[in-house]
Amino acid sequence: MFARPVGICLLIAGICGPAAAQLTPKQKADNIESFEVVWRTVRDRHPDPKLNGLDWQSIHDSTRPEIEKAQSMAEVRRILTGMLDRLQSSHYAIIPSDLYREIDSTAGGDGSPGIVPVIIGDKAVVGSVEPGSPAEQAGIRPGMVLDAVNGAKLTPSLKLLDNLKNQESPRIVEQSVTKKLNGPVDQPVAIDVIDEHGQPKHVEFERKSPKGKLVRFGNLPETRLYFDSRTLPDGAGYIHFNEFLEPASIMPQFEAALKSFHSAPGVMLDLRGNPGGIGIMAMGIAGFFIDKPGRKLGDMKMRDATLSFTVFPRPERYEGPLAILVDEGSASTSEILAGGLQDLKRARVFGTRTAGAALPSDIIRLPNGDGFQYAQASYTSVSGKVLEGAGVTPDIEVRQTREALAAGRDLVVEAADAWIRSMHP
Amino acid sequence: MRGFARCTPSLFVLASALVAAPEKAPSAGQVLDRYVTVTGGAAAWRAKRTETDDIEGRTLDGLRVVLRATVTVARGGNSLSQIQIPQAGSEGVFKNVAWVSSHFSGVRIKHGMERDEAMRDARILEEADWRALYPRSRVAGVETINGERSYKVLLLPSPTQKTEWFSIATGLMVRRSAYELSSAGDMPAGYTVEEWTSRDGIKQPSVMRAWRGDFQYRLRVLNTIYDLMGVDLQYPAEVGAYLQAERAGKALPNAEEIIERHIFESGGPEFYEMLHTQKISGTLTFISRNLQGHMETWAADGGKYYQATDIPGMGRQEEGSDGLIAWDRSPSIGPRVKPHTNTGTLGVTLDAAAMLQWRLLLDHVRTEAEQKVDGRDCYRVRLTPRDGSPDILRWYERDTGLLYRSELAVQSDMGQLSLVMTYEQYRDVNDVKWPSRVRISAPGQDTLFSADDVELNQPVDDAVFEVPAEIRELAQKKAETDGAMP
Repeated sequence: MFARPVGICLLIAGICGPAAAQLTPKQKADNIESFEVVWRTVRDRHPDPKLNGLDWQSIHDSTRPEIEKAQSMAEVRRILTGMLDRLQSSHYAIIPSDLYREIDSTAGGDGSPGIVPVIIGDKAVVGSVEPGSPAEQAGIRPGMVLDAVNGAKLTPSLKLLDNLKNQESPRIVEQSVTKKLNGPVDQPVAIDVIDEHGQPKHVEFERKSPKGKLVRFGNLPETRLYFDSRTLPDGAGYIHFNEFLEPASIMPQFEAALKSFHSAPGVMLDLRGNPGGIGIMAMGIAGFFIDKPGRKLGDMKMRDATLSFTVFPRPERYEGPLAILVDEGSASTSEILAGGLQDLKRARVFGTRTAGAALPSDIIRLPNGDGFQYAQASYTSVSGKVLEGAGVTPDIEVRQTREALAAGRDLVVEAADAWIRSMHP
Repeated sequence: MRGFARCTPSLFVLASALVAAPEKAPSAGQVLDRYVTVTGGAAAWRAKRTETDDIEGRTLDGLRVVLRATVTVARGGNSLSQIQIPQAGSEGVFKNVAWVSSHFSGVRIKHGMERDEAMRDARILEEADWRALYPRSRVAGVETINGERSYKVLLLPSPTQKTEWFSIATGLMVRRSAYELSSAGDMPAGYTVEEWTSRDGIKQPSVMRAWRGDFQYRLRVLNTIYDLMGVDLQYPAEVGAYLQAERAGKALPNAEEIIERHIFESGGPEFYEMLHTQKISGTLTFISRNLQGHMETWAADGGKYYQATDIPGMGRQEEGSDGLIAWDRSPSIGPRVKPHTNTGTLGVTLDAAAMLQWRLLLDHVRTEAEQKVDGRDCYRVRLTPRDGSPDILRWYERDTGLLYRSELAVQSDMGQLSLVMTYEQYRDVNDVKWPSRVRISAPGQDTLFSADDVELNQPVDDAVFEVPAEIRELAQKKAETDGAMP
């Protein structure tokens, strides 16, 4: 029922972890046990019981001696990754323990300067600035390039892009930059930016609690959840929330917003940067826009069942044009909703291709300290498209530019707005 | 003819006789001997070696056949009933082995009192020798049955309380009743004779109004043949194979007996018959998500139920039915009217009748194996539903007789799901054993329900089951669309 709740920030197998020195006997034993865990997990949990037609036992028997002979952690990872590659499935990765150490070493804290970074090309750019935030008060504007945080250049983080080939790569780096910007509340942060005229600027200000309500859902880390809705100048309704969590809070706000847009010429549902969350909310939200029962957004196929994301029409629905805004940060439940409504011809999708991470996956720690990410299911939209790895391709592709940001424009919203207006000639 | 009636709804013991109507109350011997006389006489009875009857039972309106069988009995105590309706099967006694073999539950060997009764009932051609079977019979008074003054005779010894009424005027049997013994428990059964037919010098009932429990039907003997050539009363091969396994200590108990034992051990059929309300509250834990919610469930007769689960962040998940409208509501999905077949998540609809009449829902049941489950010795029983839905597997604990695990496919809003329900703990509530900790494993999700409080047969305010106004409105709209009231 639950789609993958957060963007996969760890899908970067093989990018770090230089070859270690000679392995100790314990490391060797841990590596063999880790291999067995990986092999068994695939055997028991891969959504395709035929394992892509592979003779999995034979692969076990030929791979284990290689693991036993491996001389370094890097070699172990290479062998395991090679074994997983034979499945030809996304969401299988060995995550080096070094990466865990890097993430764990970040300062942490709930304070935020109020900046949402986006990766444009090979640069980290200020995507938006929270109104009234310390960053806004310090003169930070969308479109500025983030150069350094607390004196540390962002170049190493951006260099990760060279190694990451995944659709989600920009999001991974965005999260890395966000982590650097965030820290304890009321503690100062120093930021170096380059403005729209190419002039460097150094600002310092204290972090504040970011907007949104701090929520925790089961095992997931605490996160800030917020919901925005407003009427755009041309009359279209605009709804944005940052994660599919806390239906008890989000859904009533969604319903109220939609009611207020009852006579609006169209509605925009902004799922940009929304990494997903509780899958059932996609069905519930689709019910506000679909009037025929029995429609479905797609199917999630697990080893022992196929779950259909069935739409349950709401008693009161919005029947006007619906635009869904997406980007590379739209993952999981966002993709299920956007892809499903696109297939059902109920929504027009604007923005850039989504993350292609619709299916639920788990990450477990292996005995040797590395992480192992594996898929629990495969997801197919109602038109038969496999979203995993491919993502949702927008009907109208619109890419945000630094110049537009600097000019205070949102090109994706503008494109959606133009389409809505074209529906009412 | 006594044999056929025993094969399904209480097989009928044949009558005995009366010699004459004495002026004062006669002895049982006089009543029974008279019956032998008026039905043909001892010599005629003793001349027959076998009797084969084709019988048919129909509902009282005559529209539906509820029983069809061929019953053969032989002098000496062997018998064979071959049944076509209500289900394919056979039943009989051969060389002192009393057995049943049915499509429904396979082979069952009768033991103890049930076997004794089957042996006695199989000797129908020994009417004239009734003293060997019921030597302590006695007359218990005079009663009017169907307008006929009759002697009531208790056939003794008879642990099933066999009782027969004989017309004072004619000496013929008017009614017969007894308790039928089966794995489902004792069931009152019997018949009142409506017509008699004579054949080859013997007069026997040919049309009877019969009952089994509350169910009434009409039984007809379509044909009777005495001393049919080539009659073979040996038990079928599957019974032979079962006996062989039994001798080797490898035979598994019959599935019906296992299921009935659970009913008896958990509270007994009387308890389920008397169960009218339940209220259960407890904690629902989503194990891998580290989420907990509080769940409360109410249920009452008539398919009424209401279940509310409060999960932090998810809000209140509700579902219920007032017996007419089934519904659910949650912040994620909103309010919905559900198909009637969709009952509560934990199967909370209180349907004691279904619990006791489980046979009606199933085509057949089989004990497949003895297995260890979580360290417990269990019998694995496969239940095949009549409606063609997927088989259900159940594991019953050998020592306690209680259901431990059930594996079934359920039709959910998101498609067909395989559920494994493990009844990890039973608690004594009002002298019955109630499952108080149930683990529910569904694809991608394991949950554990722990009951904190269980109240049975306590008054429940009917307002609990009231359908919320917004759901009622939806149901009304749906009915208008479908062209029918909910």
